[in-house]
Amino acid sequence: MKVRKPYDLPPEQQRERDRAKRLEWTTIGYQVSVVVLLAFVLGQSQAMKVAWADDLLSLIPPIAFLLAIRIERRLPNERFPYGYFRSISIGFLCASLALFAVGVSLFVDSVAKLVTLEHPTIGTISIFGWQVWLGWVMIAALVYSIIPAFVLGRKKLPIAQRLHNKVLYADAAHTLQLPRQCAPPGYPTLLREIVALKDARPYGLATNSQTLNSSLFSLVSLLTVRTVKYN
Amino acid sequence: MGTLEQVQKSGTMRVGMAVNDPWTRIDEAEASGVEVELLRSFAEELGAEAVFAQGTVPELLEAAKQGEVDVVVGGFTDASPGVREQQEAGMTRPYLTTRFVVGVPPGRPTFDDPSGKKVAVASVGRSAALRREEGAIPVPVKDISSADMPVVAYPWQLEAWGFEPTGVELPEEKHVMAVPLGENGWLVRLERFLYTHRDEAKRLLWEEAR
Repeated sequence: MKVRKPYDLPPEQQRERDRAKRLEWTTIGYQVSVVVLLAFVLGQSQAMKVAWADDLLSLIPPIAFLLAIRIERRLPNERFPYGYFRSISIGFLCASLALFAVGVSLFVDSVAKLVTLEHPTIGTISIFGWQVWLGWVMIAALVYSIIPAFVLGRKKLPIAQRLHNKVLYADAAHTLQLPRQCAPPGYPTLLREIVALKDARPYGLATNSQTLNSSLFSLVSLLTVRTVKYN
Repeated sequence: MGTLEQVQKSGTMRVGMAVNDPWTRIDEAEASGVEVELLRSFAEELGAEAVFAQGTVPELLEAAKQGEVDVVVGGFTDASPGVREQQEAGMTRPYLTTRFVVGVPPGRPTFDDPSGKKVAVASVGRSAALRREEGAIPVPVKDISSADMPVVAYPWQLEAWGFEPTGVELPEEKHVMAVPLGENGWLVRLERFLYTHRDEAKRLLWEEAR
C-alpha cells in the first residue's frame, strides 16, 4: 500500500493549534489546583464530593486533546498509510465519555438529593484564629472552580471552531454551558439554598417545592444541552 | 424554624446527656460536670435555660435525629462509636484535647514501659486503650485517687492527688458534642461559643479533680 505524503496544518492554523495547546496546559494546571483546593474543604457534604469527582473527571478532556494532537502529527507509515488523524476521534471519545460521566453523576446526585432532601452538616473552621463557617469557604472554592473555567472555555471555543477540533470543542463547550444554561434559573435556588443551609430544619416538602422545581429545571436544561452539543 | 431560633424564642435548650464522669453526671437528680456547666453558660448566653434529659448514647442520637434534643453530650470524642459516623447527628469541631497519662503513688519508682504491669483504671473505656497501646494489665478500681498502684488519669488529677506522672501517655482524645444533622446556624453558634470558652473548659476540668 502506498504511504501518503506527510501533511500539516497551514501556518495560520498551526498558530491557533499552539494557542490551544497553551490554553489546555493552563486548564490542566488550573484544574489540578481546583481539585486540591476542593479536597481541603469537602467536609460532610455529599454535593461537594460530587463536585470534586466532577472536577477530577474534567481533567480528562484537556489531557485527551493534548495527547490526540501530539499523535495526530506522527508521519504516515507502512502500518498507518493515511497517517494518524483519527487520533482526534479517539480523543473525542475519551473526552465525551468523561463528560458523560460528569453528567450522569450530576444527574444521580440531584435525584438522590430530591429523594433524601439531603441537608449537610457544615460547621466552622479556624482560619488564623477566625471562626469561619465552612459553607462560605466551600462557596468561594466553587466560585473559583467555575469562573476561570468559564474564561478559558470562552477562549477555547472559537479556536476549536477554526481548527475543526471536536475534542477542544467538547472541552470548551461544557465549561460554558453550565454557567450559561443552568445559572439563570439556578441563582434564586442557590441563594435560597445558602440561606437554608445556614439554619433550617429540612422537614416538610412544602417549603422546598420551589427549590425542587428549579433544581429539576436546571437539571433538564443541563441534560438537554449536553445531549445536543456532544452528539 | 431552625434550632437556634427555636431555642431563643422558647427560652429552653433541650440537652440529651449520657453519664460520663467528669464530663456529665447526675448528683442527687441534678446534672453536673464539665459539659453540663459549659452548656448552662451557653444557654445563658442565648437567653435560655438548659434542660437535661438522661439516656443511652443510641437513644440520644436517635432523639437528635428526630429533633427532640438540641444538643447531645457525654464526654464524646471524635472517635466515639455512634458519634464519629455522623449518621444520626452531626458533630462539633473538637473543642478540647485531653490525654490520659499513667502515674505512680508518691514514693514509688516511675517507669517508661508499663507492659505487664498492673494499672488501676476508673472506667472500662480507658482499660481498652491501655491494654492496646501499652500492653499493661488494667485493674478496675472504684476510687483511683487512693489506689496503691499505678493509675491512669489526667495530668492535673495526678497533680491534685499527689501522684507522680510517668512517661507513659495514652493517645490524644479530641472532645466534641453532637447536634441535630444539618442545623448549621446552631452548630456554628455552639462551635464559636466552645472556641471562645476553651479555657473555661480546661478550668472546669481542673476543678473537677479537686
